[in-house]
Amino acid sequence: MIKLDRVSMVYPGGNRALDDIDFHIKKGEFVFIVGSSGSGKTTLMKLLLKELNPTSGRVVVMNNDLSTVTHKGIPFIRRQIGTVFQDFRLLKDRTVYDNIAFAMRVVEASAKDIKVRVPELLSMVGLANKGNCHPNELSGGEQQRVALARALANRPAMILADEPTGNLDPNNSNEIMRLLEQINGRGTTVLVVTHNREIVNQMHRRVITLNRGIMMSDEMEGGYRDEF
Amino acid sequence: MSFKAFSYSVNQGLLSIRRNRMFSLASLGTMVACLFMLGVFLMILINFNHIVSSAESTVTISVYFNSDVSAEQIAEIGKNINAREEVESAKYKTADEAWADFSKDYYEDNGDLLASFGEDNPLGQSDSYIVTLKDVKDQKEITKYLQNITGVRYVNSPQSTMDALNRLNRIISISSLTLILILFLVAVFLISNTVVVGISVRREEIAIMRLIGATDHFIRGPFIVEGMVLGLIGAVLPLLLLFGLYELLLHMAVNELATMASWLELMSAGEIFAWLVPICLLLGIGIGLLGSVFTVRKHLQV
Repeated sequence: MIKLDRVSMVYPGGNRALDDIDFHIKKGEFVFIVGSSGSGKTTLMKLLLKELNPTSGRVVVMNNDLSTVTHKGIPFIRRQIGTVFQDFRLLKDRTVYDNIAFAMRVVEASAKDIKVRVPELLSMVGLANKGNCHPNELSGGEQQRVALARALANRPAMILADEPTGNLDPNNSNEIMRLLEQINGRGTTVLVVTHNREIVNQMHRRVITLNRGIMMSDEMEGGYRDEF
Repeated sequence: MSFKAFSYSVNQGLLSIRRNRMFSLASLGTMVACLFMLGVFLMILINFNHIVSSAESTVTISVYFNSDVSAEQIAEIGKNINAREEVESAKYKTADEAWADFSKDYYEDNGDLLASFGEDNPLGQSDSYIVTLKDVKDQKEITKYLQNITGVRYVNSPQSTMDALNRLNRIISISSLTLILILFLVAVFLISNTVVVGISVRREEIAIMRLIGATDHFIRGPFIVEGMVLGLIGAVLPLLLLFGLYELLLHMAVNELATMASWLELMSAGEIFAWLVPICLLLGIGIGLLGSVFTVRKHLQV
């Protein structure tokens, strides 16, 4: 599903964000990427979405070596990855329904598919009766659930969540993680970038730890390692 | 681009025009002003050219002879003039015919005054050839040739009038083209500005679109549509305005101008707008397209 082969990333000015990162994530896995700020988590996300190109090494996403993907091919890679962000990134001038439908319109889904799929997703994330609300009428947890529904709209093979619980209280954080587990249970690969210690320790999933761009550990049933 | 992507672009483009109402109105206003002025200049230019060319086509050179020149000599000269390549025709006009034409033009409504001339022909000794040219450009050369023929008393050539008309035509053409070019650049700049505002208003939406896999065409489409629609409206409005004004002018021309000079005949609205409609539409949509494509390429890295 994802393969990083000796990937390094040095920003102009000499700042080394990632140094010789090497890991492989299989289809259907649930993986945490943890580390404090400045550890290289965000750079890693950007590499997986081909927002950046590595200085050296190879990034393979769903059997596509990203170094060979042309500019025109990038959207088609991104369509297979559902992304969730700490700040939700919902369109405030549109309803919850339209926010989710928007993701499907972008990939030119038919109106009929949108009509069927959006209510299905709203039910899945427990917001069946909130379709007509605007994002600012929802709580943080509800907004993140909308973002999750939007990420799932086009049935991606993988969910990439960047600090999905960063703006949420513990209850809402647990709810989001429960949903991510559910999604993973249906076969979707889930990659969560976080520094939320409690959640990582609760879930006993694979944990890749980064510190100042270096991969410190990769444990199959790991926890949050404070020593880094 | 698929139909779905196209209809999305159109919807979003129109929505963006509505959202950025003030900027859209500003660029639309400039566009209307630009194309209206362009239309006015083109109308003047096309009509002026029409007037000049119809004046040119009716321009003739008259050749008069000395009294001692015999009819045979005049006939011989006529033959030589007709043989010239530049000459379309050289028609002989007797003094009596010249007087008949003159009295018809100037004394038709004043029979008493005409009768006072009796049998006299004030234009006696005005036997002439009326020379029509194939191309008005040869006028100078032919005039010189005619003046050098032995027995020719006087050659009446409207060379200076035509030269003045042509000079005026050139001045109008150059000044209107310069002004149109400046207005064109202003319009492109304003459309570009409107699109920049549209892009910054939708920056968040664009970022999300990129992340969820929208193609370049899909992201850029609405902005291109926005520019083109502004261009299209900016072309249609001045065309309607110009049409109304031209009809009014034609109505006035029939009553007023026609009495001033017979050659001052304006082209019909149909003839003028057969030029103006495609020029304005092409320019309007072109300005919109140019302004938005350049801006999107510069400000929207996808």
